[in-house]
Amino acid sequence: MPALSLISLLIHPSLSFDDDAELDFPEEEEVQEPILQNLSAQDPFPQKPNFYMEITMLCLICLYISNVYIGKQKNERLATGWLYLLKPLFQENFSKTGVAEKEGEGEMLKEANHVFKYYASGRYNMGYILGTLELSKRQDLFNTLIFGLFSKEQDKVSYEIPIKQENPNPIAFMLCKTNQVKNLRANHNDIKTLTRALDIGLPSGYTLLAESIEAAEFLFNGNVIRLIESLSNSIEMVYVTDQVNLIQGYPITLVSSFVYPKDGKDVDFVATQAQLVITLADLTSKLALSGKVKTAAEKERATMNKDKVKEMNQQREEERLQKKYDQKKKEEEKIQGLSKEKKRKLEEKEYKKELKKKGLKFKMVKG
Amino acid sequence: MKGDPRRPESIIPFKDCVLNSSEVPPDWFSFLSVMCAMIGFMLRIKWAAWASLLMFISGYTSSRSSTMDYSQIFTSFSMILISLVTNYSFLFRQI
Repeated sequence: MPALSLISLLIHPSLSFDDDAELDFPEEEEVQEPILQNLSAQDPFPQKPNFYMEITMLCLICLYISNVYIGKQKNERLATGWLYLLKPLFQENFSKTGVAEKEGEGEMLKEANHVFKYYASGRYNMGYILGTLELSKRQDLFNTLIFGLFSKEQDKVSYEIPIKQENPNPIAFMLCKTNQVKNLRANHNDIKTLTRALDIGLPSGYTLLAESIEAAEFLFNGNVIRLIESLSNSIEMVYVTDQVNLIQGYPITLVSSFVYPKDGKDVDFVATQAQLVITLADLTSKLALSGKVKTAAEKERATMNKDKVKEMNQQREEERLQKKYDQKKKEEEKIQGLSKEKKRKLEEKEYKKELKKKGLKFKMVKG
Repeated sequence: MKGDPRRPESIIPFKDCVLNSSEVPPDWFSFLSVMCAMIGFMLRIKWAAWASLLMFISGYTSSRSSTMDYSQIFTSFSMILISLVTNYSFLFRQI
């Protein structure tokens, strides 16, 4: 110990050990041992599970399902009303009404909860009349709340009639709203090419696009114009053309679209809409154009068909060239991946092929 | 019956138009419901599973009989069930 004290003196005087001196140590604090808890049985951050989101979703689903039921019932009521308004008119004009083959099996086809179809057939100049009632999707809550606010969705009814003519005559015309002329001309090539706007005393807001004034005056006589006036703004479009063929033997097609009265109110003109369409179809089937007008119309159609064929040929040629180009590119990519020897052999093969085509017989000399 | 336009011999039976698979318009609600069901299943997001159920009901109630594909409906509904069961499997464990 004295040796140690000597060494410590050499290092640092404060490190000298004095055996006799009392060493002062701080008082020991009482250290409390941690209480061990059985943590495995408990969650570190226990939370009460809540099901607010689930309850909200279930309520929303229940609300949606109840809306489906209510909306479906309303649409079916409107469709039934439409059927009862049309049935007498269809029974007067057609031999058989209803979609079912046998009587009593069902008159109307329910294609969806908002789409209904009514059909009649058996007339001397019409193949059939197919009425389609497209109502707004009242059964869909999203559609009612979201789309209903931003867009004015209306209930619509459309009719489709294939027509047979007593004397075959070229015919194409469209009755539409003046503000829709541009769009409709763009969507119908024959109306764009063959027709022009004609003034025949239609109510304001409507335009007639037809080929000749003779055809327009024959089809839109006093009776038809009275029907159009009585329908106020419910006509969207009436389109008659010989360029669309729905069934064989009926070369003319009439397609029309009307607005169905909102919520089934003021239903007086529902039958009038169908009456207008049947009247126009009757007049179209009886149309007899003079020789000059008929020849001019047929000439126009020949030019239009020529242009159509030219366009089709051009398109086919473009497709053929594109195919050839793609094939060539593929072959080039294939060749790039081959070794030199294989490339040389392929070139020899192609050279021989070309010679065979030309009909010459030459041997390729290796350099 | 000179004035009667009806002709029983000219009756054409009704044929509903059948669309090709390329002509059928896309059903966005069905597509979205399948997407939400997959998100709910893979990422364990509960509200996505519920939203997929809502969209499935919306798409189903607005679909047309001529374009309805029953196999697709069955597939969508199965996906939704799997998504819901996966998200609420903890309830079955607790029981």
